[in-house]
Amino acid sequence: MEFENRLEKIVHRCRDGERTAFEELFEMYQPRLKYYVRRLDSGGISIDDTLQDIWLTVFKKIHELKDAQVFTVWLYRIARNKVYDEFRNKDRFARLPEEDEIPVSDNAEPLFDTSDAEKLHAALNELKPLHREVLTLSFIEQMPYQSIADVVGCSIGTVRSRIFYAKKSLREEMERQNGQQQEII
Amino acid sequence: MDNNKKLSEGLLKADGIDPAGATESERIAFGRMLDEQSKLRQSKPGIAWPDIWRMIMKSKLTKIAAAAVIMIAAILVLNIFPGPGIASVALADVAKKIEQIQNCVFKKTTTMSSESNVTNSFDSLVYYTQAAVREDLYEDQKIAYQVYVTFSERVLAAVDHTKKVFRKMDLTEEDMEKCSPVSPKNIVNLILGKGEYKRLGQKIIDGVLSEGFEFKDKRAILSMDKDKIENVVTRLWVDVKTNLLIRVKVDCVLNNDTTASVVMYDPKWDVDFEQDFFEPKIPADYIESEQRGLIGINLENWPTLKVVSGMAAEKAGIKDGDVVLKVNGNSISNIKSSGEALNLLSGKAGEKVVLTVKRGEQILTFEIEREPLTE
Repeated sequence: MEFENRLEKIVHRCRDGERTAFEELFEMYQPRLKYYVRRLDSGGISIDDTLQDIWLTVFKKIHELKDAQVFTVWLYRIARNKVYDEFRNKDRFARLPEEDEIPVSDNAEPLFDTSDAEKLHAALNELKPLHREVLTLSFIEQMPYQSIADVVGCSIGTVRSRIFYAKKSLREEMERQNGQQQEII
Repeated sequence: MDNNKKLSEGLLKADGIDPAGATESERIAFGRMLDEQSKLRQSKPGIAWPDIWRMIMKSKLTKIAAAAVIMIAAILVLNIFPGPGIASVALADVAKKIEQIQNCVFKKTTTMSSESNVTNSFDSLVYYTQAAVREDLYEDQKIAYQVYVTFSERVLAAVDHTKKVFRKMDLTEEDMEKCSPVSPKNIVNLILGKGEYKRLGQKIIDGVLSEGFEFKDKRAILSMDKDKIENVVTRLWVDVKTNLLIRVKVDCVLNNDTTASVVMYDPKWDVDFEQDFFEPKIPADYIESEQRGLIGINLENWPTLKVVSGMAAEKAGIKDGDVVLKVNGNSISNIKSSGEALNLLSGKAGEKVVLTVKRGEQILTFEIEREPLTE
């Protein structure tokens, strides 16, 4: 709760146009936001420019944000829209990744080793973009499924399904990479 | 530290990101953005001084033309590896495959940066046939700039729709030699024949297992001014399953401290084009960029004027603080923004514009002749 309370205060100060509050917000989120934007299927857009653009929108629109508690979801939604808008703008052939909702049971989530972040990062990069996105939000922001659904703009069922298959692919990818390493040794 | 936080920080570090906060350069850029936005909130939106604007306008077309030139050569390179069996393919087979490809479309992002940190980025669609190339650069979902290269006429045309200006340039014999429809064979010889390329191994590109090739010969890149190129690194990525090209990245360093990076991706092969698709379409009211003239006023506080010292408006008698009432006898009541005013006031050098202004209680009329643009 400590983080939520602090965030709420900062967002209120931002709404009042306080410069240092924007700077605090930027420091708090920029590293993770950058990690997320880099993980999206962005089709070669400039990440630095996109991040600037995201913060510009935050600056311009924060007074429209009714509930400071949902700032994180709001921020990531802006980020996602910016990336895909730019992608679509320059791309008449762009198709957004397809939906893949398949019912899964709640108790069957694949397990994998989270202790080696470098391996996990490498494996994450090999996943399908939609899978990579939901896992990234879950890993870096510890977002609950409903929040991820709000960012991505789909149902909670779709998120559950994507996370299930994403974790399965992640485990397979990590096993594959382990196998490759052993071969080299 | 709890496990979740540890995982999050570990992932960021693995991606070269410091979890503690933004980098110094990001902080500076963010600070600048806040400064600019605060200023905008305090004052009416305006445009830069005309002389700065003139410089930008000039350099933007120049940059677009330069970007297009890099593009042309890279497309020729793009045609090298479309055949099957990359690893063992014979040069003759590659050349044959090149001749089979009639046309293609792909997406492109060109980023040009100078040492002073000015970055220009262009997102475009590029259409290519053996006879011509067309590049459409988009801004706000609309085509803002276009570049056409017609090989038979040896002409490069750049159109700036935002300013309604265009520029035509003749390509030299030497340029033509490099971008002529038969020259991909020469490039094949240049790169593969001499073995001057490096294999980059396999990597996932755009979600597809691809094989990479890198070469550094600057002769593979066409340039209007070869001497300006310090070095060029071209990387090609080919889908190992289909043997089709997935991505091309060209990084150039020019000796005026400018770097250019061109990424081309998602090509579509053998697309049908309308017959006149590659003919430059320049509306009748567009002006050749060389013919464009300036009167020398700052429109930032439109309709209140500020004169640029020594230029036509000042010479004609316009003074700082004059408020425009009419342009060429027409009321300006519906011209609200400085951007609209810019469109209204711009035109050819040598032509005249008549401004009716209010100065205190006086209503005065001035005839001003536009001055030609000079570097």
